[in-house]
Amino acid sequence: MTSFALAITQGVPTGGSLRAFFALFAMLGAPGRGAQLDEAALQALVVQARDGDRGAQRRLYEQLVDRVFRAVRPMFQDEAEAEDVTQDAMIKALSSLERYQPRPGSSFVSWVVAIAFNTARHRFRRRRPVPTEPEALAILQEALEHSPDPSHELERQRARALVLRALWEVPEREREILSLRYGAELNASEIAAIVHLQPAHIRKLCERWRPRLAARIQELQTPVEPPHA
Amino acid sequence: MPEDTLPIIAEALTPGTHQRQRMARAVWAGVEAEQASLLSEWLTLIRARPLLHSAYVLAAVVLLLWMSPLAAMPLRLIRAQGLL
Repeated sequence: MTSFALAITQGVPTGGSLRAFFALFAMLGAPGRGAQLDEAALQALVVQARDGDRGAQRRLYEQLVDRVFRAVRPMFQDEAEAEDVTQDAMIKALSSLERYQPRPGSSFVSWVVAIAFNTARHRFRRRRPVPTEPEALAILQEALEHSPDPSHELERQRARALVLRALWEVPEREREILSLRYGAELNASEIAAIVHLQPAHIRKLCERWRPRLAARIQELQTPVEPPHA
Repeated sequence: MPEDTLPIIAEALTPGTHQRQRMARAVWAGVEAEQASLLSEWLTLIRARPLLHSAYVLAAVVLLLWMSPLAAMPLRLIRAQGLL
């Protein structure tokens, strides 16, 4: 178990279920998260996918979709909008593999995430209104209905809402960088190429925001005690 | 301790099973649509309404050939020779 998970389970004696959920996540990982292939294996899949191998295309998709979604999710209040952007980016990426040129120091994942990032920014320019509460509730209800374990799904949604709340308190530019770093799991050089900043600046920003974000997530997990009469 | 916030954030933002299925359906439908060739689109049209759509396809082919340099250049040459 990670030290943060331990800190969550053994630290402040409040907020039991969410802390246990985060600890479980830290130990087991989210359902459906498979092992990530290394860059050489991804490049081999790209070559096969370019030749029309559907199996290779599907494996590429499975390797990329979670990281793309995690990169764009904090950019939108609306879950469905993040899904739309992920879908659009994946279609663009898989349909234009012949245009992909491998570059030293830059992974294939960063190329796809850059497509998603630009798609998300384009979407921002013609932003839809923030979803109304019934719409957000409908999305949650749908997720619960389709889940084999509704209580686990509810905890998952609560955990996501909590992390998103902490991220939304961060200024937009920094939030984008943190999403690319901790959501898409890109390195500082890859992020620098996407957001047009120096890698050293990215590292400094992550060092500054990482402890603040950790503290805020932990703080949000701790329920506010009612004032004593 | 702060180093470990990375898996926590990644895991919390990872799409759920139902979300993943929904996105996969949309992506593969989109990829199929992107990859369908013009020829297969036309063949599908002809299969749907053979007579009417064959006429449309024929008109489109003539128009394409007429407007493309491939057809325009020999036509110009023929005109220049005074054959037309």
